[in-house]
Amino acid sequence: MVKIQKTILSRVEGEIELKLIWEKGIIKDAFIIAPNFRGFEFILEGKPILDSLIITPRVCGICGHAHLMATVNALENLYKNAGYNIEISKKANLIRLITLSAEIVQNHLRWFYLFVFPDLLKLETYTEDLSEYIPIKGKQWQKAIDFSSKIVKVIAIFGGQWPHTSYSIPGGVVCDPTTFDITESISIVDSMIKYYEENIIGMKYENYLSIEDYKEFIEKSDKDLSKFLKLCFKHNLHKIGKAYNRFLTVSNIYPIFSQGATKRKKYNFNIKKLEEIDTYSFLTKKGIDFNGKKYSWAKAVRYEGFPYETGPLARRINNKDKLFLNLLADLKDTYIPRIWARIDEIIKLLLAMKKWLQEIDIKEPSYIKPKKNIKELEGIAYGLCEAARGSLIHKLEVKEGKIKKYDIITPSTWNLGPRCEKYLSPAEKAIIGLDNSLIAEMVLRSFDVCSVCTTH
Amino acid sequence: MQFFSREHMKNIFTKPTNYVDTNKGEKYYKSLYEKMRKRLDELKAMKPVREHDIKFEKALDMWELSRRDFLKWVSATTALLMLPPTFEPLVAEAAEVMNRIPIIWINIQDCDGNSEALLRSSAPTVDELILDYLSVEYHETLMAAAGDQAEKCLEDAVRDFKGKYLLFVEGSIPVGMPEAFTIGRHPETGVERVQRLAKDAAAVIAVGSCATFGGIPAAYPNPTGAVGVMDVVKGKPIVNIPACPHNPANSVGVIMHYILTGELPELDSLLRPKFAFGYRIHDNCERRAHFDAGEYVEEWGDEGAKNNFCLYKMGCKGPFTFNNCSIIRYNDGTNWPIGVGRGCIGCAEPDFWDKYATERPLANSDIHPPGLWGVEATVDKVGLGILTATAIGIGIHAVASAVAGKKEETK
Ligand code: SF4
Ligand code: SF4
Repeated sequence: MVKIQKTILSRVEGEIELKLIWEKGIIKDAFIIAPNFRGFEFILEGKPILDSLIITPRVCGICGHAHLMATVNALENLYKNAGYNIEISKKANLIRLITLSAEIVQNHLRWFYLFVFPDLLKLETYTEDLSEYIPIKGKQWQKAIDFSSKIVKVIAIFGGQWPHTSYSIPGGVVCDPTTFDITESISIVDSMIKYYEENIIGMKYENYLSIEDYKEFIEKSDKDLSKFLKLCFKHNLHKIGKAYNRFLTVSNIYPIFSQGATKRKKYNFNIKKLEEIDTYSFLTKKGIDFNGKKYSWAKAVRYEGFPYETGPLARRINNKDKLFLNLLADLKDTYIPRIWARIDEIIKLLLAMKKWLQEIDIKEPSYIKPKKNIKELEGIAYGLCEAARGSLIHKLEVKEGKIKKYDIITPSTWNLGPRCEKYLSPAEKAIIGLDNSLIAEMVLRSFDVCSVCTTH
Repeated sequence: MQFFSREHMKNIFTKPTNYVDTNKGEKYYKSLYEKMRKRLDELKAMKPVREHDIKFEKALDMWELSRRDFLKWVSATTALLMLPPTFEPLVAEAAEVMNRIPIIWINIQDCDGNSEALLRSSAPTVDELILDYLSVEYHETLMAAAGDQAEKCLEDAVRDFKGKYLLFVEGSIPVGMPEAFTIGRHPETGVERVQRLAKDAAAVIAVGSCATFGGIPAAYPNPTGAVGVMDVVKGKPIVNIPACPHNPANSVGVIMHYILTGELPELDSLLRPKFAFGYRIHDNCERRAHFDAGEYVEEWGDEGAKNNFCLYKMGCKGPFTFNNCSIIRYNDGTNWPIGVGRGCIGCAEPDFWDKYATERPLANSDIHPPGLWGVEATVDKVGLGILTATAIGIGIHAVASAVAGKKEETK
C-alpha cells in the first residue's frame, strides 16, 4: 500500500516541508517543498542599480553577507563586461574575504550544535549521556552560541553590523579600519581557533590537518566531532544520504576553495553551461502558476543538464583535499562526509582569516573610484560567490541606469530545489530508499537547509 | 488603542510627533516606582509558567555568568527604558521573575534576521540567559522539537496560556497572495496563523521592518501583497519594533517593561515604543560634530571619509530616522553602519525600501522628512533641544557607558 506522509521541517531558517511517499515501509519518493515566497527578483526590477546593495543582503538573515558580495561582484563584472577596468585594492579584497569567512564560520558552528546534534539526541534517547548538547540548557550548545556570536563581531568591526551589512561597494569597501580594529579581530580569531581545538577536534590544529583517514581521527580524538562520528557509526549513519557524486564550486578563494565541477574528474566551471528549469516550480518564466504537478517556489538548476551538489563537501572535493577524497572513497557522498566537511571548513577559514588580517596594509586605499559612473553602464553581468551552504550566483541585467532583470540562484536551489523531468534534486535523491522519517529529515538537514534562501 | 490605515500612517509619519517626553518630574517617577513594586510582588506570588523551572541564580551559574555581569546588564536595561538609576533594583527583580510570562515567537515572510539578531545579542550573554530563563514556549529556530512535535508545542502553549502570552511575529504577511506563505499539516496561511494566535495573546509584538510595516516584501511592486501585523490584527494591543534587523535590546526592553508594569510601554503614532524610537539617529550620532561644522564626506574614499566626516551628502538618513542604534549599536555594541562609513538607510521608518534606501541624499529628493520646517534647520534645532532634556541625557549616558563597559570586558 502506498502511504503519503507530510512532515514540516522546522528548526531551519524558515520552513521546508518534506513529503514522503512510502511503499512497504520504504520511502519510494520524496518531494522537498519550499512553501514560502517573497518576490525579491520582482522587487529589484526597475530599481536604481545601487539599491541592490541594500536589498539583496536581506534575502537571508544567515548568509546575507554572501548576497552582498555576490551583488558587488556582479556590479564589478558589469564594468568589466562594458569594457572598463575596475581596480580593487588588496586591502579591500582582504577585508571582503575576512568578513565573508566570518559569516561562513558562524553558520557552520551554529548549525552543527543547534540543528545536527539535536537529531542525534533523539536517536540516542536514554542510552548515553549527551546532556551537554541539549538545546538551550547544554554547555556545548551554549558555547556554540557564544562563539558564533563572537566571530560575527569581526563582520561588525569592518561592516558595521550583522546580519544585513551593506559596507561593500563597487570599487572597494567604505570602512577604514585602524590597527586597533585589526588587532581586535585577530584576537577574536585566535580565541575561536583555541575553542575549536579544545572543543571540536580535541587536538592542535596542526595535528588535525595532517589526518587523512577517519579511523585515525576517531582514535586520536574524544571531543565533539569525534563523539558525533562515533554516534553516527553506532546508528549506521555512514550508509545513508548518498546523492549524485557530482560537485560544483563556482568561485576561488585561494588556497581553500577552488572553482570547478567534479564528476569523477574535475572540470573548469563555465557559467554558460547552467540552466534553470521551472517545470515543477510555482514561479515560471511566464508568471506564477499553481497548477498540476508543481510543488515548490524554488526552481531546479542544472549544470550541463545534470543536478550537482554544492557546499562544503563540494568545496573539499574540488579543492582535492586528501582527507575528503579518502572519505569519499570509503563512505561515498553520504551523511558523514557532508557534515564533516562543514566542520572541517571552520578551521581552514579561521586560519586563512588570521593570515589575511595580518596581511592588511592600512595605508592602502579602501576604495578606488571607478572610471565611469555606474549609472551610465548597460549590459548583463554575473556575480559569483561561495556562501556557507555553497555556490551563490547573481545574474544582473541593466538598462538606462535601472535594473532590468535580477536572477538569484542560491546554494539551496542546487541542493534542495525541485526535480526536473529527468532528475531529482540531490537532497530528494539522497532520501529515497530510507526506511525512517527521522533519518530522512536528518539527511535533508545534512545539506544545511535554508528555506528563505531557496525561495527568496 | 488606535488603528491606522496605511495612508493615515504616512500622513502622521511626516509630522513631528515622535519626541519622547522624558522629564516627567519626581512625582511621576515616585508613583511609577510604587506601581512597579506592587506588580513585581504580584508576579512573585505567581508560579513560574513551567513547574520545573530553575531558579534564576542557578541559571546564572549555568551560563557561567557572574552577579556582576548581570548587574551591568541591569543598569544598561534601566537606562534603555529611560528610567532613573534608582529603578535598577526593580529591573533586577523583574529579570528574576521573567519566567512568569510565556512567549510565543512565530515567523511568517521573513529572512530569520531578527531571530539571528536576538541570538547574537549581548555578551556577556545575559540576553541569552534571559532567552533561556524566559518561557519561550515556541520558537521555530531555537526549539529542540521539529515538525509535528513542534506544532504540538505551539497548540499546547496556546491552550495553556490563553490570554497570557506575548506573541512575537517576525516577517510580513502576504494578504495579496496567500499561497506565498502556507504552513502546517493542515495548511494555514500567514493571515490565518497570525490572526488565530493573536486572538488569545495578551499583546502582539511585531519585530523587524517586515512585521511592522511590510518591509522588503512590501517594496514596490509588492508581489505578494505583503503587509505588517497591524494591518491584519485588530482588537489587540500591538507594539512595533521596526529596523532591519531590529535591535534585540529593544525587544528585551519591551518584555521588561511589560513585566515591570503589566502594560506596554508608551508608543508613538506608529506604535513604536518611545523609549527606543523617541529620538533620531542623528541626535546621538558620533559624526554629529562634523555635521554641525559642515564637514562632509563628498565621495567614498575621500579625505572626509578617512576622517570620519558626516555622511549626510552620501545619503545618510540619520536626520529623519527615529531609532536608538546610535547608542545601543549592533553585535554587543561592537559597531553600527555609520561607524564604518556607510550612512543610515532609515530602516526603522515605513516604506524605506522605496523612498529611503537609496544612496541619494535626501536634500536632493522630494521626500518630506519627519522634521518640521525643512531639512537643515530642523536637524539642528530639534537635535539640540532633545539633547538637553535631562532624563534622556541620563538615559543615553548610562547606556553608552554600560555598552562601553562591556566592550572593555571583552578585550
Ligand atoms: S525586516 Fe529585514 S531583517 Fe527583518 S525579516 Fe524583514 S528583511 Fe529580514
Ligand atoms: S547625517 Fe548621518 S552621519 Fe551625519 S551626523 Fe547625522 S546621522 Fe550622523
